[in-house]
This record gives sequence, C-alpha cells and structure tokens, in this order.
Amino acid sequence: MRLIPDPPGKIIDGEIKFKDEDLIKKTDLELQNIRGNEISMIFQEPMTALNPVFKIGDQIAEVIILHESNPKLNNKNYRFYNKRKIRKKMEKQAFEKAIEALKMVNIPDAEKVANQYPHECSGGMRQRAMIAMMLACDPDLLIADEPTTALDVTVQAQILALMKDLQKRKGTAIWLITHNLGIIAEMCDRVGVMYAGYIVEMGSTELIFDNPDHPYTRGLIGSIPKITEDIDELEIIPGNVPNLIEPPSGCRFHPRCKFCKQICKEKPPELIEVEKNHYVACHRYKEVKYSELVDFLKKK
Amino acid sequence: MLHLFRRSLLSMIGLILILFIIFIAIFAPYLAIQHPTYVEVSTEQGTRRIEERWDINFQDKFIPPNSEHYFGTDDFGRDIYSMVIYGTQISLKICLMVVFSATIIGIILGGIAGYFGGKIDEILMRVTDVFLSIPYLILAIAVAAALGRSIENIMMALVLVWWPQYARLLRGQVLSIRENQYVEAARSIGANNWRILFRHVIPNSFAPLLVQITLDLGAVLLVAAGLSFIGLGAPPGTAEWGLMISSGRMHMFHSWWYATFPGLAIVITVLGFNLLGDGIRDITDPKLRR
Amino acid sequence: MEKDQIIKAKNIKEYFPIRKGIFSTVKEYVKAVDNVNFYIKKGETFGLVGESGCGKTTLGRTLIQLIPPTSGTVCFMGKNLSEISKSELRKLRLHMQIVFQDPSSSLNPRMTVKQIIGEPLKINKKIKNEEINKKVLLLLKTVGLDEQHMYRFPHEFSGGQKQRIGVARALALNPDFIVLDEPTSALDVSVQAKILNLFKDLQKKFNLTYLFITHDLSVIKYISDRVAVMYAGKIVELSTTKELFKKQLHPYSIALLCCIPIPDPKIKKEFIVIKGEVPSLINPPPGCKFHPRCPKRISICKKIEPELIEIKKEHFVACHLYQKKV
Repeated sequence: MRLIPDPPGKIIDGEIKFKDEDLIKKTDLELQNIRGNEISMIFQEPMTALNPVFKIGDQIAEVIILHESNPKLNNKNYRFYNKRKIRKKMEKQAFEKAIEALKMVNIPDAEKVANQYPHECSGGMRQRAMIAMMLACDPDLLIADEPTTALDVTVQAQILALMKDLQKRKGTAIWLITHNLGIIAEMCDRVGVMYAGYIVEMGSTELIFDNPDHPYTRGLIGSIPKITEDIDELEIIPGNVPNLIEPPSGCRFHPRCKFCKQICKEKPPELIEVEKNHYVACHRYKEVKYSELVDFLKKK
Repeated sequence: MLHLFRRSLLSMIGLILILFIIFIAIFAPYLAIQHPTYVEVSTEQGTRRIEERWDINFQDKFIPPNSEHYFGTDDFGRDIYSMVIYGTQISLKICLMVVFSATIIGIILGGIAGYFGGKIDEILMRVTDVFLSIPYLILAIAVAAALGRSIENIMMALVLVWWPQYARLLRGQVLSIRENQYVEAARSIGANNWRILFRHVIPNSFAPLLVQITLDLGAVLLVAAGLSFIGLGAPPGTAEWGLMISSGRMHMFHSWWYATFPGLAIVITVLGFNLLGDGIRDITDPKLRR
Repeated sequence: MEKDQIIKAKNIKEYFPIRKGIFSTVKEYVKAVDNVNFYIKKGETFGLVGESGCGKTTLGRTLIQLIPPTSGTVCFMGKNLSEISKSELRKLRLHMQIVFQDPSSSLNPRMTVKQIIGEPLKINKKIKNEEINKKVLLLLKTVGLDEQHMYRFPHEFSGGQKQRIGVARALALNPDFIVLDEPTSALDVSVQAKILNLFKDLQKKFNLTYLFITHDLSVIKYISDRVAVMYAGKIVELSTTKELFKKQLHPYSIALLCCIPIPDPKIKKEFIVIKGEVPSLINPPPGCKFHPRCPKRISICKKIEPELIEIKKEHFVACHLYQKKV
C-alpha cells in the first residue's frame, strides 16, 4: 500500500501488481486515489487508529467526502467543494452515508454511535467503526492487520463473522495479517507463512495445516496448544527470532532448523511449487516430508 | 555514557563548554592575574601578605583590553579577566547548590506525595502550590531586606522558589512509574514501602528530572545574575557576573569591555547548560536507547 | 479434604470505590470480584479463564494479599489470612508469589538481572553476597538461562527471556503457590510453548501449585487440571479441565468455547456469535450478569442471581437452567 514513509522505509526493488498496474511506479497523487478507493486497511489498535478529537460519524464522513470529491473521480463535486453551501450539503449527505455504513457493520443505534467520540466506545465498537470507514469507500482489497488481537474472544468472533459476511456480500478480497493460527484456519483460503522477512511457505490453508513442508511451519503448528487435542508436551522451536539488522546467512531459519545442512547456510532457498497450490522455500523439503511420514508411521 | 553524546554534535559542544567552565572554576587561582577582592601587598620587611583590597587604583582604571589585561580593567582598576574567571566559581556555586538542594527537597516531597497518594499527597501538593505562587523577585527582596545582601541569602531564596517544580515533576513521574508491575513484584517479594520508593520508583522517575535540572542550571544562573544586577544579590565589590554587568552598564559608552565580557561568560555558560540538557533529554529518551 | 487445599477463598469481594464530586464521596463501586468461592488443591494447576475486565487478575492479586479483599476470607495453608498477625502474614506471603503478564514492565529497567533475582533473597534472608550469587546462578539455570546473563539489564533480553527472569525471581523464595497472571499472552507463539513447558517442568521439580490466569482457552486446556470460568466478577462455571472441555453447561462457557478459532481448517464450524459486550463492572445488569447476552435466558434470570451449585461431582455451575433440575 506504500504507507511506510520514505524515509525510513524504502522499497528497494521489486514490483507490486494491483489489477495489472505496478503500484511502485505510481505517483503520490495516483496512489492517494487507489488508497481507500481500491485498497483499504484496518489496523490492530482501533484505539489509536481513530482520531480521538473527532466524532466517529464525522471521521467516516470525511473519508466519504475525500473519495467522492477526488479530482479524478468526480470533477463536478470537487469544483464546488470550496463553496460553503454545497460543502455543508455534501457533509450532511456524507454523514448520513456514514450512519448507513455503521448500520451495515451491525452497530446498534448507529445514529447515536456516529455522534460519539472514539473514547466513548468499546474496542469492538471502534473496530467495527474502522471497518465501516473502510467499507464506505467500497474497496476491492481490504488489508486487515491483526484486526482482532486487541479484542476479547467473544468480540473477536463477532468481528470475524462480520468480515466473512461482508466478503460474501461485496466480494472484497481480504488480506488478513495475524499471528493467530486459529483465525487463519477459520477465515482464510490461502496462507503465506513469513519468517524473518521471507515467505517460507505459501499455499491453500488446508494443505498448509495438513501437510506443512517447511520446518518452521511445522514447528509453529506444533507449538500451539489446541483445545481439540490432549497433548502432554508442546513442540518447541529452539532459539529466537533473528534480528533483521543482521539476519543469518543463507536460509534465515537455518540456525533453528533440525534439518539444516551446509547448503542451507550458504544459499537462500527459493520459493518452489512442490505440489499444486503449495509453495515452499526450503532446500530440504523432501527430507522434511520423509521425516513427517516416519513420525506418522511411528505414531501408528 | 560518553558514546551516547557523540550522536549529537550540539550536546557534545554543550558538554565541552561545561567541562571547560568547570575547569576554569577549579583552576581559577592559577589562571587569574590577580584576585578581585584580595591583593598581595609587599611589606617593608620584604615579605608579602594578603590583604582585602579596598584601594582604588586610579592609574589602572578603564584600560582597554591589551596583552597585560586581556579583558581590560574596571573603574577600580581591577583586571576584568581575573574577575570573570573568579566569577565562574561564584556562579557555579550558586547554580549547583540551588539546583542540588531544590532537587533533594523536590525528590523527597514529590516522591512521597506521588507514591503514598491520598491525604499525604493532597497536603504536600497544596504546600507546593503555596510555594509556587511566590514570585522569586519578591521573595528575594524580602530575604535581602530581612537578612541582608549576600550570595548565601540569594541561594536560599532561590531554593525556596525552585523546589516546588521538581516536586511536581517527580510526583507526576512517580504516579506513572508506580503503576509498573515491578513495583507490585517488589511488594510481593516482601519489600517495604521505603525500599520500593527509593530503589524502584525514584530511580526510574529520575530521567525527566535530570533534563530539567541541567536546563535549570542555566536558568538559575540567569536569575541569580539578574538579581545581582538589580542589586539584590552579591554585595558590591564581589566578582559576580551580574553585578559586573550592572556596574559596567554606566560606563558602556566609553569602556565597552566592562559589561561585555561578563555578559559573554553568562551567555556561554547558559548555552552550555542548555545544550547539555537537550543532549541528556535525547539520551534518556527510551526510544533512542538500545 | 481440607488438608490438601493449599488455598481457599470464601465469599471474596473486591470493590473499588469511585470517588466523585467536590467532597470525594463514594458514589459507586467497581465490583471487580463479587462473592467468589473456590479452593485450590496442593500441586495442581488451577486455571482461571475470562475476558478482559472480568476481574480475574484482581482475584489473583487478592488471593496473594497484594490487595486486601473488601470482604471475605482467604485461607492459605490452613490459616485465615485476615486473622493472623502482621508479621505472620508477611512470612506467609513469601510462600505465595506472582508472575506478571508483561515481562518488560515487571522488571525494573535500572537493575541487573542479578539484582532483580537477588532482591527477594537480600530482603528476606540475611545471607552473604557470595551466597546470593550462587543462589541466583542456580535459579538462572533452573529457568534455562546461564551465567553470562547475570550482569545484564532487562532491555537486553527478548520477551521470553524476560519472562524467565520473572519466573526466577518468583522462585527465589521457594514458594509453594504461584499466581501466573497471563504469563504468555505478551509472547510469540513459539516462545509461549517454551515458557509453558518450563512451567510444567518447574511444577514437577518443586511441587508447585499454580493459579493460571488467562483468556486463552487452548493454553488452559494444555496446562491446567481444573478450570473456573469467570464472567463480570463471578465464577460461572468450575470443573475439571477434561469435563469442562467435553461438556460445558453454562451458556457463556459454551459460547466462549465456540468463539475460539481452531487451527485446523477441516473443522469448519459456525461461530455461535453472542451479541453485545462484556458489561461494565460499575453497573452490572441485575440478576444473572450474563442475561442480556444469553441466548437461553428465561424470565427468572433478570431478577435473581443464580448461585454456584454442584451439578455433578466436581462440576459447579451458576445458571438457573440447571438449578431447576437439581
């Protein structure tokens, strides 16, 4: 989304294709147009992502006005935006639209909530308001960065159900970033597993959970306690997450990997397709697979 | 600690300035040509003794800066260079003593008020408010009137008006630090209140105070010089920068050096303290610390 | 029965007054813990689950007397903590320790690891510096750190290591009972596994009793023997872990378990979404505190607060639906 300011963040190389257009080559103005209209983002902390000094309804209305009066999208509105009367009218309309958006995310008393300030609402309410704000501009891609980490489980379930439902109705693509494997399993069609700046494994959710081929993914799945199973001891990945200032050479996971061989220390592995819809970045994925089979047979 | 200063050039300059000034203060007797208030007199027996100087040396008065008197001489024929050098001692003494005493009082009262809260907090903070509401000028006039003009009295007056802001600052810090879990952890391992306060809470609340202290050293210096300037501080004849400017101001038009050099000394010292304070603030900012 | 109960809470209430107005008069109370009864057996891990703000952390602190309870009694090792003398309480309190949620705020950033772990020894046992050194080293080794970490400051450690230091500090006084207050919720999943295993090992080694407070049911399932589910300051269900995960009775427990996303894509289940949010503890709803959100509420729920009763052996529920049957 190119939200990381430059400096400090800089995209060194590569391209980001969105609807067959390279986002990196775009100018700031063009990007402004895409952000919100086509790609939106919800953040982890609904507390800090909303501006505490504006009413929720006004904040959503602002987004609506910004995107409706965008010079590229609607010239007429933009030209008149500076005239006070028209602006007032537009603001009023936008506020009504904001209330509608709030209703869409199942907020009871949407009119009341629209007139409240963020601190008057609970975490779940605020996260809903964020979603409503994003929906107001009807994006094609919604990036959700740990949208439920700050929320309680019952509220988390509400938000997840809401997101699923909206996806069904509007056909939005959702990119969900989370560390909670449970949410991934519930929500996602495809998963990418990231470790120290690299995607180490990618594929359909079922393949990844059933049949993980990268040793990191396996460790990760083994290390979480599950309510569906009884286990005596959790699996452990030795060591710690490496520092990204001085990452390990070769495959970044090799110091913690039990399958590590010389080649892993020297060459970073590439992401290869091991079966349909399943990509792995590991030099020794075959051995991993084999050991998995052995484990399985041992259990039997 | 020193390597942290290297990150910022300005704070490094501040540190160097302050070290330079401290050096001057310590070695003043070796650097100065003559003592501003005492003089060596040769006696008839050929021995020398030290006497308080009250004589006016009219031949030497208002000599412009030259190789013998680097900063020229004043209306009494005293060497301004030496006076500025000795003035460093006095100024440093005033600001360090005032800020140090005020800090101690502030830490104790602010710490207790913030940590124990409730009625103690309420009482201590109201006392603080009373002291905060006294203008330093009025208090200084009152002290000077009651106890006479002296550097010690001025220091006392400044301490009295200076501690409340430290107490408030520390109290605010303590209020937030006290909520940290290590305070609770200390309580659960059986530490008593005083131990928690002085070992866990205050050391962690101290960082913003340190910045304030360094910045205040400059401020106290300015205020003390100002009080001396209007005749409330150091008694006449003392080599105090503010006092020197005050007497030099009459002769501004024919001997510019009289007021200029003590003024420059004040500027350099205050600048040094301020740059150092900024540097310390940058260092103690946890976001910059690794 | 009484003998193997290490700690027993009876009618514990913890109210925090809210002062308002010019005269700071107490107008309202936050009822963080409201009339809670339970006991913990020696050597077991007792799990306490609930959503944020339901009073579970307060309950933990009340048990080890970090906050004295507003009313009710806590019995620890057969002694009523509100009746014994102050010096005796001080001594007893050392047998109860706590490990905090946020490892970075629970360690004093200006003390070295040695000072942090050595502090409880220094305060409570008059032993020499060298002996403290030895003991600290031993403790560090027990929690999986070593000598080179002794003179470092907390900010040089990762979250997992910091939590280990916190555990070492808690162990320093050879406690019998440790409250683990969400000890892994600030950690990454892979680190969480290590810390959880460490807790299990330590329990075996030192014969410890844990009160494990968390909002994460899967962690509870892994680590604890018995579980209590808390909602708005009350225990709504209490049972052995096996029993609770097999058959929850209280509608809240059922909903809570349904809400947890399961890391297995094959199990696709519908979320049973309970509406609304956790009520405020200042003005909780009358009657059963869960009734505004409860899908199975009946008329009596609005008026009368259900009591925690034993439905089956070792399975307690506070819900009117089951009280009728009994």
